[in-house]
Amino acid sequence: MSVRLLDRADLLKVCGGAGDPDQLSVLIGTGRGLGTAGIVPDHFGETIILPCEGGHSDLPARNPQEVEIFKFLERKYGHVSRERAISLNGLADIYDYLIGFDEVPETATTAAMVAELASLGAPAARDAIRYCQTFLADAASDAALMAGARGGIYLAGELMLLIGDLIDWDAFETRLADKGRLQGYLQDIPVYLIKAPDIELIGLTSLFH
Amino acid sequence: MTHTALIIEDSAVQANLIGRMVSAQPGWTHLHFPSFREGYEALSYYQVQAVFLDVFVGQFNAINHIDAFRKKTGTAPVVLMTAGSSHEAISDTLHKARQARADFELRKPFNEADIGYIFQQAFQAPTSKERRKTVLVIEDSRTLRTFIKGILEFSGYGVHEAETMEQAFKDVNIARVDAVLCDVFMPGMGGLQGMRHIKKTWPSVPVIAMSAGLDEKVSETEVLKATERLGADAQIAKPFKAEELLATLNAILSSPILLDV
Repeated sequence: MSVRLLDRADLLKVCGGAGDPDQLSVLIGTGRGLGTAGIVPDHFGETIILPCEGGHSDLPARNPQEVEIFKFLERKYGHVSRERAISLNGLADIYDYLIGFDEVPETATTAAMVAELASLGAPAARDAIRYCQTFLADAASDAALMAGARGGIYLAGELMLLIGDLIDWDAFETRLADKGRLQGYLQDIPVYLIKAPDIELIGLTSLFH
Repeated sequence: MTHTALIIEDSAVQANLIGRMVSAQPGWTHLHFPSFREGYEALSYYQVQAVFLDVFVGQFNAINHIDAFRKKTGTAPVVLMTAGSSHEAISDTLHKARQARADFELRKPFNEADIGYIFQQAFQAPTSKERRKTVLVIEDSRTLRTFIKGILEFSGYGVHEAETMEQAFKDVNIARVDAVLCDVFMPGMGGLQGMRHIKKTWPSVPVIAMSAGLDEKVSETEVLKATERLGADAQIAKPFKAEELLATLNAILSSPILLDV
């Protein structure tokens, strides 16, 4: 609900084309978990929000390294939903796996530590962010394809605020559009990063407009 | 007094070369055996002051025999010699050698000066008890490194310094230091991965983690807890006073070192 209230300054278009503003958009919020929602314009100036549970859909793995990460998360959690990899905890877990920390059941690594190490140039921390970014691109493209979200893809949440500046958006776009014949369809969808903190509060204020 | 080095090497040509290099060191002579069994049995009759093991002797791997030789020879340094094999990269072999706590690793081909350096390192003090304890300090802040170095040297420790984990791994023989004092957030691979690597590769070398946390984002308690989980033996929050550092270091160094028996 907050998306239409955001100033342009809080929205950063990170990739994609013009899309079709009259069509549905999807929002992906990453923080402690992974939340998804559909944003449907009703053509009377209002917006209908469809709360979804995309964070619990299965995490796809598309190459041997991703399969290894998947297996590690499966050993740790059983069912591997997308939010096991695309969340604050997910980023810390992937980093732990990459530095050979996978046999310790309860580590205390946090996403903020990984982000700091990545900004200092730590290769494993950068790789962890790259995997997180890849899984996020898959989540965004799958959500857009399933919902027909030609209006746009909005990325928000604590994880984005933490690693938004460390994401390689060109690589993100390449992975997002890597869907065979529908590459052009996905390349046209604009992707926005929401830079405003506390978007839940902004959303709540929309109730009083 | 003449010192004797035991050389176990299945290639007669190489054994001859290595023997000559050892015997060229002042006060040293050598014994050679082509198999672990013969070399091990010889230790019942001879006293040796150093052991040179070829990693692959026939189908046997010396890494599995290090402990047995160490028990029989006491304080004699164990030197592992390797040229890699068709089954294993040389770096993997060296990694395993460190885990098996060989005192020194020598990549073949080596020369007389390499052996001289090893003897100098191993026998620079009359006994290990009198050897000055050394601490490796890995910290990117030069100011803090200088501060820590000052405290430690004043208290009688030898100090190795490194600005990054990468530099420490390249320049310092970590198997030979008595403790590592390590920052968490610094350029390069950083302290979490670095400390994890040290504890996996040299489990008997104690590691002390130090951190100030990350501004508002992560407290020093959280960071130090993460280091505890990955195996660091002690933690110290920055900023610290000289007494705190020395107390932490003393506590770590006075704990008994577990030997495999």
